[in-house]
Amino acid sequence: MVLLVAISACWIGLLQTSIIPRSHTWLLPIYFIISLGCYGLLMVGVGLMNFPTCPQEALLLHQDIDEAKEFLKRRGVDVGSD
Amino acid sequence: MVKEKKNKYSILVPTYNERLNIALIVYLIFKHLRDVDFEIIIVDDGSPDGTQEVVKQLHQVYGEDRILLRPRAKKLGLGTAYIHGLKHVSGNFVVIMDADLSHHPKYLPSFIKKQLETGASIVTGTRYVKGGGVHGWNLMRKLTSRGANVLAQTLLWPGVSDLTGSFRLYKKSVLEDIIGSVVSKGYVFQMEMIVRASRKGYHIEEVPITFVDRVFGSSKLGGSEIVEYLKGLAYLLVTT
Repeated sequence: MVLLVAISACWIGLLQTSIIPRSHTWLLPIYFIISLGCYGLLMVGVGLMNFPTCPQEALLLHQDIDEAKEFLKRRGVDVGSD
Repeated sequence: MVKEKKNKYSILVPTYNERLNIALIVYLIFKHLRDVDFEIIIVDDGSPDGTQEVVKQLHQVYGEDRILLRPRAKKLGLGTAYIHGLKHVSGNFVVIMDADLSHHPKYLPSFIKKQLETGASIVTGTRYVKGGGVHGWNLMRKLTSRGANVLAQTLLWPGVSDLTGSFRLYKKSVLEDIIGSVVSKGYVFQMEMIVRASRKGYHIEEVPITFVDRVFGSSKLGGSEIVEYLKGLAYLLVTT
């Protein structure tokens, strides 16, 4: 939030002082948003490719479930399927 | 001689229609926390499937002092379930986790160890780092998750890699401090908790966890959830 305000202030400052030609300055926010968007999409893509998965965990979980059911059934806890 | 303060871990498990899973979870918690002083607080929202009856059976096996059933009359939401459960906590640490076995109790020791090593106020489980992971999500689901995460990271700079995760260890005092100022519902609630904690300067650490999604009746991510999420993000951007 603070960053957004700071960037906006810089942009307004640039507009006022005409360091860069006016026409360019007006377009800066557009460039910024587009770059941010591209960066975001890149990060999503990279993240998607490297998304950690753990298929073996499903198997381990089933083993744990069987072990738990056996133990609990012997001790009178109702573990029938719901 | 200085009396060493022992740590006690109160594990808060909100339940609704988890008749089978609650028994399995309790078994696994006891299996993996053998030398730890803990209690399990089950906040059941009047489940019609007999979850509470199963908890009473578990009392016979494990004792009523280790398993506390603190029910409510009906489904009243997750945030209030935590607040309700907190009133009955006798430990100095509180663990929150889901009852549907997507959070596996075998990670509890790693949470505890991380906290003892670093003195952190909060240890949160992350599915998105090496050593962690998810099983049972299709491409669309992964895409939404990743997109949501990138958006949240860019806008909020939360300092954690998994914002919507709900497998966490809190110092009791810290949980009490934050939960009072949180207003969101659903999984935005979890986001708001961790972002507020981060803004308040609490020391947060992460441990990798694996998350096996429900095989049956898996939580579908529909349009309305996405809208809620975006609204929640906007709210957090402005208020934190």
